[in-house]
Amino acid sequence: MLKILNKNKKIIKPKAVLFDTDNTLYEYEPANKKATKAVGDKLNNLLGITEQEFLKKYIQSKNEIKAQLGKTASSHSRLLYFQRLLELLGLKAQLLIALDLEQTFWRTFLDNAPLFNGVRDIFFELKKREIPIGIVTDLTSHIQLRKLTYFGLEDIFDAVVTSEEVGADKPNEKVFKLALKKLNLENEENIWMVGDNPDADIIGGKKINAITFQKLHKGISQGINEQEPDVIFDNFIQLNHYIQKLFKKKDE
Amino acid sequence: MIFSFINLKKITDSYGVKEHKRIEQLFRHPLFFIGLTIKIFLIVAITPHIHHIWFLPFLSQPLDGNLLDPWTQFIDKGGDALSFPYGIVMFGSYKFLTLIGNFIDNLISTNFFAKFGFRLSSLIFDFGTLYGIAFIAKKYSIKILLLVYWCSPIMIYILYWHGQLDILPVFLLIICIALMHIEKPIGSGVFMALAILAKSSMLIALPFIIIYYLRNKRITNQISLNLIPLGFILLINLIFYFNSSGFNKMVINSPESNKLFFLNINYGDGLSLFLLPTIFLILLYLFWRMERINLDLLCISIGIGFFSILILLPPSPGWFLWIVPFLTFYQIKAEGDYFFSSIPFYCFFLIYNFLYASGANVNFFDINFHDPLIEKFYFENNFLKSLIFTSLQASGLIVCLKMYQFGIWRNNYYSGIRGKLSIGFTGNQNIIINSIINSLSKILVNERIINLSTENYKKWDPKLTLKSKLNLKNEKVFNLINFSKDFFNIINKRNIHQNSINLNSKNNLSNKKYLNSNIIFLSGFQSLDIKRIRDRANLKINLNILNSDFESRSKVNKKMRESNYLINKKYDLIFGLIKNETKSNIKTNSLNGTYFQELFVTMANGFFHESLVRNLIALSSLKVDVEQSSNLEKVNLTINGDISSEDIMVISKNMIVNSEDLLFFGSKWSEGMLGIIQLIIIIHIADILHQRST
Ligand SMILES: [Mg+2]
Repeated sequence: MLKILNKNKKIIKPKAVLFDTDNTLYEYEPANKKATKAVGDKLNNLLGITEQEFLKKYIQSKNEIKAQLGKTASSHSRLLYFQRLLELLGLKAQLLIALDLEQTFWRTFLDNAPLFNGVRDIFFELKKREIPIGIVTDLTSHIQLRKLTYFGLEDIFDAVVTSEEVGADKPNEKVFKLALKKLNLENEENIWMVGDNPDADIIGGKKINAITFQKLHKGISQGINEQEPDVIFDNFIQLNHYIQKLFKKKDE
Repeated sequence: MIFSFINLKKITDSYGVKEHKRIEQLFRHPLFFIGLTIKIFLIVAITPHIHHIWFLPFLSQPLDGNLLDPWTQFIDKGGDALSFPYGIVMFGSYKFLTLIGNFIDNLISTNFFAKFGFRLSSLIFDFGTLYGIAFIAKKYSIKILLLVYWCSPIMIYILYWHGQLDILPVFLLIICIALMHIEKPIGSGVFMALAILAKSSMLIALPFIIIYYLRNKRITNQISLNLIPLGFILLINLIFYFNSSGFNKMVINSPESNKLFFLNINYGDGLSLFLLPTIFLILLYLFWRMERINLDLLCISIGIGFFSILILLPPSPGWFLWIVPFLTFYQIKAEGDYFFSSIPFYCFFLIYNFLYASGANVNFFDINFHDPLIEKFYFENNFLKSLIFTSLQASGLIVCLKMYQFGIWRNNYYSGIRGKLSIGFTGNQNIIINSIINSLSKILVNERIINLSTENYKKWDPKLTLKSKLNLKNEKVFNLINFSKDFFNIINKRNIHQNSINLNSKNNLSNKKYLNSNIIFLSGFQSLDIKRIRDRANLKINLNILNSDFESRSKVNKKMRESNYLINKKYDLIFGLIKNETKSNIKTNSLNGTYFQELFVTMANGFFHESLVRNLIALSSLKVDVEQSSNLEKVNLTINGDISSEDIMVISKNMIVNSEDLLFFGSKWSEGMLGIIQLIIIIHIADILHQRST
């Protein structure tokens, strides 16, 4: 399914396409669930902590860290969550375990985060048409770069911006501005922004006047009112067809 | 009821997101809905003739008397002895929905829901089997799976038109295999028992499963956990029904069970050779003799086992249903024209059965097709029947042979090399090398690995260690002539010098173990000094332990990478390990990967280093430095950081094709740099073993 919601906007061949990563290029929730479970299992093995106790304290530590750091990259840091979790469990300064849990989390996460069908083809299509591709993503650079490397996409992008780099999460426009700057496309209007989150990606995309594409799948609610995207789609293969059609029109 | 004691959620949890996604896609595929629609239409619209004359009268008899012995009750009331030649599990499983249907029928005075419930049971087991196949196969083309199983005309014909019930025992057997695969031996044994209690012919699969347990050392110790519940349940069943006259008459002495010795070669004087047992034993022997038995092979072999019954006995239509799921494993694993080679078999099956087997009635209308079609024609003759039957059996035999051929090919996935694989492994610290070789044999549990070390060929008295150290570089210290002789004796499967092996008390392996080995490590100082040995070795590895001070590191680095010494010996793989200064005491018996902080690797360029580096960096956040040699032949990796054994296990699954043929989920990898060394060596071994001979 691909649907154009904003009929007023004329969609033409873009100057560049920006992509969100998490839950846009792959489905976030199943990987997160598996990874969280692996951490719980490990804690159970190492320290005999039950699953319920772990989940309760994990949510608590997550909330505390988020409240403490606000909308920044490190507010998503699993290492900080696990460190706080161990403290909440009464195990102070178990640094080695915290590091081990972090690695267990990301290993399991990556192993269970297959790219959506058609994502790779879109990148190749855009590369073929010489359209620059950028990544704008929250979270810390280290893990985001690890992810993109694991997906085998390490040399696809012309610009990668993480919220760590600018000091604020999306929809802060600094993230998007920096991406455009890296692409040498400052003040360019004809940019596409593809993401899943109505607040971070759609609102954020609108701040640089981009044409916004929302990727929909299970668990994502379509943005409404000021969060309404210009285009919605649930399948990258169809987005790819759409792009190809757009280019054909141009070629004629 | 019978499913409640296994925790389905827990089982599916051991599956990754990729497998879940595939299952989701399977049930969303248009072909799935097409098949489902056809099936639902048929169970609503059609009552197979045999349901009408046999199963339904048996299933809907009121349960007074002995609840667990409907057979005797049925016979006593003058029922047809052919009605229900199946065991208690078949009865219970089909009874459930039939009973509910009965209840509805009584409530609203209809005559439909009991029959419908009965047929719906088949659909549920059919669906369960599809899920089971997908679960076991893991990686498959969704389209082929749905085409050859879910939309298979044979399945649809047998289950929903002709109306056989054999889907239940097959479904139970599939659960048994799935549980065995994920190491739930008790549940697996219980389901094997249930399958046999549903239909005794499922016993055919049992020897294959036992052989699978015996030949896979990973799970061999679970075999009793599998067989005890199995035997227990069967025994109870036997005791319970021993005196049941109805059960004896209807199940034990059914016409089908008397077919077993039907086909034989007459030797005259009342002496016959029964063909089926003979062929079946040969099949088991062939299965036993396979080099590596993986799950695909098990499923394919069970399919061939069932096939042999079909081809050697006058088959009932329902029997063909046993093979379809196993044929499916073969068709989804073997890519290519296999799908088409089974089309003649499908066609002849349908022609033969439509002509000669009973059909069905259309519900709500007074239309019946229950007589075999041939009765509508006037040319019925035995020659024609035999001709079609011969075509059916011959096309079946061809499919069977193709399956066998594929089985052999798949079996050979890791047997590309002729004869034994020999690996030279030398370096400056034999203790560590020996311990790595030892650890490799624990990861490659089904390979028969031996370590032939020059340490067992010392010329001096082993007790004089001080002297030995002084003479290390003296060529005359080792009896290299004997070493070389023994190596070639092992390669050529000739007896080796018993004396030399017995010298080493620690490695007291029997001569037989040496001769039966398939991977030989040559280790110890000077083990590759003889050119003839060097030339024969399929893989040559060098490993040196280096001190961490910079000077010696760069010195050895240089030596490692450029010295004539190494290049002359043409090592395929060179490792340099830097000791971790903070943990300087290396205990010999418990070698730990964290004793080393850095690893140098020199290996062939353009082989797998890119994906290795990607995995090490992305999955484990190690630091990896890649540098190509000037002539681009080799790459040098410098790796440091921490890596856990779990990381290495995940990477091994990512990097080794068909890794389940060679390694197991539970393989115990080392952590740290030693784990990476294990991984790199095993990828090389897998590659050599897989160099397909085309
Ligand atoms: Mg996102």
